[in-house]
Amino acid sequence: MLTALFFIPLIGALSLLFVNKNESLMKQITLGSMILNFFVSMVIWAKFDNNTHEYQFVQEWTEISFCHFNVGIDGISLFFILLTTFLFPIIILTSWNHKNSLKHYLLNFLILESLLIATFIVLDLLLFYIFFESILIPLFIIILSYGDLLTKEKAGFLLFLYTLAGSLFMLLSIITIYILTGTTDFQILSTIDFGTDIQKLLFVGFLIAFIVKTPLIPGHVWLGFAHVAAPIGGSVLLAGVILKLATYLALRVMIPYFPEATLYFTPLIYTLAVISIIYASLTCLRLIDVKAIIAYSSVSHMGVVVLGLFSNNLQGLEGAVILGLAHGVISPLLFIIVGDILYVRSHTRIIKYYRGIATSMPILSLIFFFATLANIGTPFSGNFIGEFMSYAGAFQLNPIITILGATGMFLSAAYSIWLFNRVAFGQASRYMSTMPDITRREFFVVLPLIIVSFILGIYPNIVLESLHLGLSSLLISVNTPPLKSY
Amino acid sequence: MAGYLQQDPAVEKWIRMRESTAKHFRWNARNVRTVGILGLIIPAGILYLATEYNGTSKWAAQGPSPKVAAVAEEDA
Repeated sequence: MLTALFFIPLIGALSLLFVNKNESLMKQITLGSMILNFFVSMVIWAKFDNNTHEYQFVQEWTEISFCHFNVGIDGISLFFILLTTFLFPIIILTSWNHKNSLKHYLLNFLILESLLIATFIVLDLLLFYIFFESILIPLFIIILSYGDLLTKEKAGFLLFLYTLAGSLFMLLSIITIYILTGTTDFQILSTIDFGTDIQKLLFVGFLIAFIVKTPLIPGHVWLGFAHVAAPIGGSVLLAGVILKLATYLALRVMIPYFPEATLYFTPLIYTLAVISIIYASLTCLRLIDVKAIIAYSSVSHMGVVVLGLFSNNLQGLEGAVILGLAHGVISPLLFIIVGDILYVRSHTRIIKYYRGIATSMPILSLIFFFATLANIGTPFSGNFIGEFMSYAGAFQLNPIITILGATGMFLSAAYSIWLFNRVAFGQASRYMSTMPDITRREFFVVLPLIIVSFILGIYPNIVLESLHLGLSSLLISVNTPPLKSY
Repeated sequence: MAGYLQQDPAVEKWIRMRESTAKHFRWNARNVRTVGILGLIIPAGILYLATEYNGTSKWAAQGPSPKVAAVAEEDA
């Protein structure tokens, strides 16, 4: 069933190749295959057993000699897969009126969906790296072919080169792991204990990729450009799923395989996380492009995720995953509001031109208000649960750093409320004539995102039940003596 | 739909100036001071705090205080 998740988008892509001029049919095939993929992932979730931390739905292909294309999921990867399959139909619906080379645009997203799902389901480290890197190619094509005319080249190259450079060190670590152990299989690697010095060296390779992908300051430069230049589908995908790849890398590889190095480097990672939270939030207050504000707010929120990830307690880990999922829903919602709904009408992202849209676009303003509250981490949103648990977990490890990081709570309120106030309230803008309110299509595109955020906020157990066992095995006991190791 | 916005040349000039701020960066005394504080001193300070206070908090109960233990023993 897991391989169905991988192949359905590819079959959709193959079918698209035979459709030439009928744009309506192209969109229907793409949307149909993505919705089918979403239903398959829901069936997998329904059949998922919460009472084991072992990999489930495991499928192995022993016929393939040159790699271990084994797939399986546990509580951690399940929700990243659900997030991926949930967001892709929304991406296609936001791009419903896309005209420029529609076939290639849809093909890119179908292939991206396959590659992303493969990243989350493979049980081999080298294959994980291959799929982790392979998503860069369609992303690069999407930004360069369909992005903002003035900034797309710089954004595309920054995204590609930054991520590639960061991942190069990860590849070196993976090759070293293979030389030392003779395998890159997740299940076998989980039984191997690396020596502390080797762990630290290997961890640094993964850490560089982690810093670039999360992103944490100073590896964040690509994000602002990529988000602003990308078309709406690209922005939604970047904010919703791509940033969570780093979270998945930490949960799948860094923490379980290098526990002592994780404990050793936690102060450095916490430093980078706190700097990211505060500096990114302060940057948001100075930016003039609404898409850039939301992009940098993602840097800030991912800093909170990192605080929870490396807190070495269950509360922090679960908070990090919940915040990752909630952010993966709310950030796309904000991008759709400013980058699609408002931008399609006004063709500007500059905040100075906007004012008083609440009078002419009341429903959109209400949805924008909900998204702003969720972005701040107000109760009843998934962001509140995630932030609360992440900060609570981090506080147990390092109260002083967590207090510094918690300044992100009121800084995020500052820039979010400032953004919403400037756009929605005040006298009607003298630069903008009255714009029509949100259409029915746009409303039904954003509605699922609102519902999911609300569900995460009032019933987080829907996610936590499946996470408990999977994340419990990641907790590092500081008192356990090291075994005989490499 | 493209007709909803009336661009203002003054605003466009302001946008160009704001977005090209980084191109006019120079290593003058003020900027060196700012980069030094924000890029070196503050991160070093945070790193020091992170290293110093990492895992030092004891949240588990330490047991009853000596006075409480003495009273409990008398009662027993």
